[in-house]
Amino acid sequence: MLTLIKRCFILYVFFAMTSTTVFCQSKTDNAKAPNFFIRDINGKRVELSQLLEKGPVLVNFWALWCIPCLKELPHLNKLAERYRDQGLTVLTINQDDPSSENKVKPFMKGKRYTFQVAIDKDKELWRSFKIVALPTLFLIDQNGTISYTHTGYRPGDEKELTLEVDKLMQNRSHSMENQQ
Amino acid sequence: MKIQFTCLILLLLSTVSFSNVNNVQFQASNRMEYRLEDKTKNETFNDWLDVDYSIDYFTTGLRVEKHQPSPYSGNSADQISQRYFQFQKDGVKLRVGNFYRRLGKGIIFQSFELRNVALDRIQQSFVLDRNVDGLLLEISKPTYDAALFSGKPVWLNGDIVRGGEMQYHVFDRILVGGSYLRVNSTDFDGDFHTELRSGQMGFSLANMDIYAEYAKKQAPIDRATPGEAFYLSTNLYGSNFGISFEYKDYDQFLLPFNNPPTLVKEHFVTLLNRHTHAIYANDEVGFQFEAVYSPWESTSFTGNFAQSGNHAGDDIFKFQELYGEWKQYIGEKLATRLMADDSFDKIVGDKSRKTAAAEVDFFINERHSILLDVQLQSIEKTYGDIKYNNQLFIVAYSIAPAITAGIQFEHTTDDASKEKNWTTVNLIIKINQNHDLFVTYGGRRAGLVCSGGYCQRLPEFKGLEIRLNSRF
Repeated sequence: MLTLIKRCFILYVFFAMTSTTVFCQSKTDNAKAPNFFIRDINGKRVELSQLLEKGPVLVNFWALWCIPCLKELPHLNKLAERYRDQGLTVLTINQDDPSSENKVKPFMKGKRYTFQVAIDKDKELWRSFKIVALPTLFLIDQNGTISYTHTGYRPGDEKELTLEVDKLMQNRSHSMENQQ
Repeated sequence: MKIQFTCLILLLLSTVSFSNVNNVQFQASNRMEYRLEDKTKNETFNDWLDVDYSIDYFTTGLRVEKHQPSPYSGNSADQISQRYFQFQKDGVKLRVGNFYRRLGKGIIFQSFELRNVALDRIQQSFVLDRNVDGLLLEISKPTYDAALFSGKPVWLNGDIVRGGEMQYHVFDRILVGGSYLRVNSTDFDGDFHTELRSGQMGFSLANMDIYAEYAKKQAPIDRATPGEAFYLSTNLYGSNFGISFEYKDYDQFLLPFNNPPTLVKEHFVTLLNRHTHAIYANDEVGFQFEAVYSPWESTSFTGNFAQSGNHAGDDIFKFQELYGEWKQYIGEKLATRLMADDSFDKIVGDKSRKTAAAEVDFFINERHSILLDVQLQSIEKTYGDIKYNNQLFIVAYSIAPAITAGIQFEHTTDDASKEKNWTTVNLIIKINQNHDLFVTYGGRRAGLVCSGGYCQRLPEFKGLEIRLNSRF
């Protein structure tokens, strides 16, 4: 029986790898982000559809126990500060449990981070975004479409993310100019 | 037949991915694990496939699990472990089927799923699933959150839980809430029920937060002892510092359906995570203090002090931990993290645990980087004049955004351990935006892996592990 499973596994990996070149760009082109509401660490109710009215949203899933997440956060903070006035919202969704969630706000302040943070206390967003590992981020354009997604963090990943955000913000400013 | 069917679904998913026609949305994720043990040649295969399908405000979803051999029976296990139907609109959510819910800080109730799955070098993973099968109604408005639920916790044999919660948020600064839970159970003497209540109150001032929760447990005196629990947390923060203080007092609150805050630092350093304190909520009182300070953008310090014991102050229950961390960026090429930890935990016989760790990230250029991680630990037991050391070394090379290759070496001088050395090599490949492949070969030391206040003891393993995480 396991031989069959192994074959299936190998086939699955093969298909996943071959789909890289063929389907990579089209994979997320039409994917809509699920709408959600959650309270941020200041008790304020946040809804994705309301954030999208202001502009694109970068949603990042992280936890205090996840060291690659902690290495990624300074870069997200830079993006948040750079594009805040142009309408980009960086919303990070913390995945810590009751044992650590009280430390999230002091951590944010202590590290001088200024992006928005919400705690996913029942892991509802973890499931609706189909997260399989931390950190995972989604760049959502103003139409609610996921334009870029990335799982894990390696030093240098922030370059690709910055390019994607630059591209999205440029497209947005072009379309705003055209509308005017 | 079932296997072929699952294979077919996965193969289709691997190429089809997201589809979106008008308001129709399809999403899925899959986690697949394969292990081959060196000595015994035993093979195990585990798979979790989650699929959601949405039309406008309606969503239906299911989870298909495959375990071979089954961890319970030794035979293969294929099952639809979760299914649900959900309506969600304007802050109102009604869900029928499997769900997760927490009341307050989890002191009286928490159903949850733990997947210790940070994408980080070499790691041990475990999955713990505690969901409720029943009905859940949630209403979330700017000034209040309310929830009602009823169902069977799948990890408890035959119990039924009914509960609710109401929390008011006044000007985003004041929180007043209350939770209720009734658990109907059956034992050899017949049916009985346990009732739990908790009250929550919180304030947020300019640079300060306070939160307190008090809970009470009532049960027939011949079945269970009444219990009380109290949790308090305060935060104080400024532009470059944050301080948190937490206090716990748990008395007869060790329950199979709750997960109260542990007030123990959750460590990402392997050796510290393996030697942490597991709380005893039937008789535990203690506190935890943590401070984070960044004098400059390139420098940050974290300090943590935690202490706990039982109400009588017996020496055997005493736990204490002092932790310090210094994170420093040196120019644009180097990032260092130095950590030191000094603790004791008498209940597990650890008279002294001293740990030091250093982690260095060297950024060669925009895409290439090297990670060095050194962890040293000395342990002294309360019995038999036993002392031993643990050492762990990790070297990893990363090429963003696609590849990480690493090697981990661990050594112990513990006489109780048959093996003294463990070496593991691993490779993580990002196949595309949707797939991450992990290949690990080598030996893994037995021990605790802790996440979310819950610890699980994993057995020793030597062999090949392959894992594929996918999002569709």
